[in-house]
Amino acid sequence: MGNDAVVRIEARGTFCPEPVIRMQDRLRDLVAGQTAMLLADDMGVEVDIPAWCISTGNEYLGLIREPKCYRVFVRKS
Amino acid sequence: MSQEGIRALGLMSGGLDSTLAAHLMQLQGVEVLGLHFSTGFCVADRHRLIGNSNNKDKPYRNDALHAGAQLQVPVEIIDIKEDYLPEVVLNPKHGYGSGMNPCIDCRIFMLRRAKQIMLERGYHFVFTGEVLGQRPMSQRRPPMQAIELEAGLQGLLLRPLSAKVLPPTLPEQRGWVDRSQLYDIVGRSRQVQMRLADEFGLVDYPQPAGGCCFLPDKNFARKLRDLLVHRGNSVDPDDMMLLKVGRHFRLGDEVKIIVGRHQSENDFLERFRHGRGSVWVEKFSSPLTLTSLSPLKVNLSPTNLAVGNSAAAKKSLLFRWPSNGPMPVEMEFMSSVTSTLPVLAALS
Repeated sequence: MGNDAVVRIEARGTFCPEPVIRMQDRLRDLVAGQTAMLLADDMGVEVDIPAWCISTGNEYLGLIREPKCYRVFVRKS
Repeated sequence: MSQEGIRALGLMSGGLDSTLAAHLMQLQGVEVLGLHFSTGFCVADRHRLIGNSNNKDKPYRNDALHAGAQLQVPVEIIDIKEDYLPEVVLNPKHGYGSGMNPCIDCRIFMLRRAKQIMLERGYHFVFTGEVLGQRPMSQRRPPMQAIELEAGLQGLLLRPLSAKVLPPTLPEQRGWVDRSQLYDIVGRSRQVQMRLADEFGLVDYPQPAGGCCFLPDKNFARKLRDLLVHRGNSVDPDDMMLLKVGRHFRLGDEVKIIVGRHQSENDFLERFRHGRGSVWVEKFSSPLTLTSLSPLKVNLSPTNLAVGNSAAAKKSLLFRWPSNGPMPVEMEFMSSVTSTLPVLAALS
């Protein structure tokens, strides 16, 4: 897989911290520079994913709020 | 003093004590990885489940992740829910505290996991934010020694906040950590910790009030004990999730109902309707009520089931039964508690 492909991580229907755990576990397998998109419906991702990124040094790219879910983008550092 | 190459794992709840402990290790040049164990019994997670916001109108946050962000310490969340319930909550070797909190077994369980990670990834020791005498069950001298022993971390478990009143550990004896820079905090007061937080410029930490786990909560404990009495140890994760919300009423040995207390609890209960009976007042803002068992095992009828806690009195109900499809029935609502509900025990 090239670095341009966005890796999709499904966490809808799960409650925090499960979305963070899925992000953390999936990112472990990616190479630096690759981007992941987390799909989640727990509002906790709004505050926890940015904090997790600061803590781990990964790059928080932003979040899109949709009516029934969040799309959260993170680039592995 | 810089300890290049020394690596330690810290148990991080995100409270002030574990945050300070991690910072003290950082100050000594130790490379720190914070481990945050997700047990399924976290107070903040419970708030978020039911859609509560904090007083700044933001979602409740995971304090460990925010402590990690503040310290620039990586924090890894370790999901232990699956084993934690049967091995720790349901069968604690060292018993429970004031609620259903198996604090000693909990520490042992987490520290064993930490030891496993320490060995697998080449860390040198483990530390915690425990303070001697701070908690009545797990933070007295004898249980602290027992915890270290049973976790298999003899000499490799450092408690930086109380280190000077505890026997020197291997990290201190080997010079990985300078004992003189550690502390001798004892007791329940948080004054010293708050002063240290000021000194270190740590301003963003949760107020120390009751801890981060709701197993000591007496209301929750009553519901969990009831579940164990009626279900034995065959409790599944959904049962545990449902204990966290709503008002619970025991109707019989095999029947319990759960009533949502507000819209966000109703929304939460909605997710668990599959395979359960559910009752609500159509077209009115009514509580959603779930029956706890598979409808096939429950003999409920309009004459022996009614739901309290609704302002919509004497309205027609739609009684839905998943196995048979929608079944409209007429029910009489009392203004508060129904006269037809054979409640054996109100659990919350």
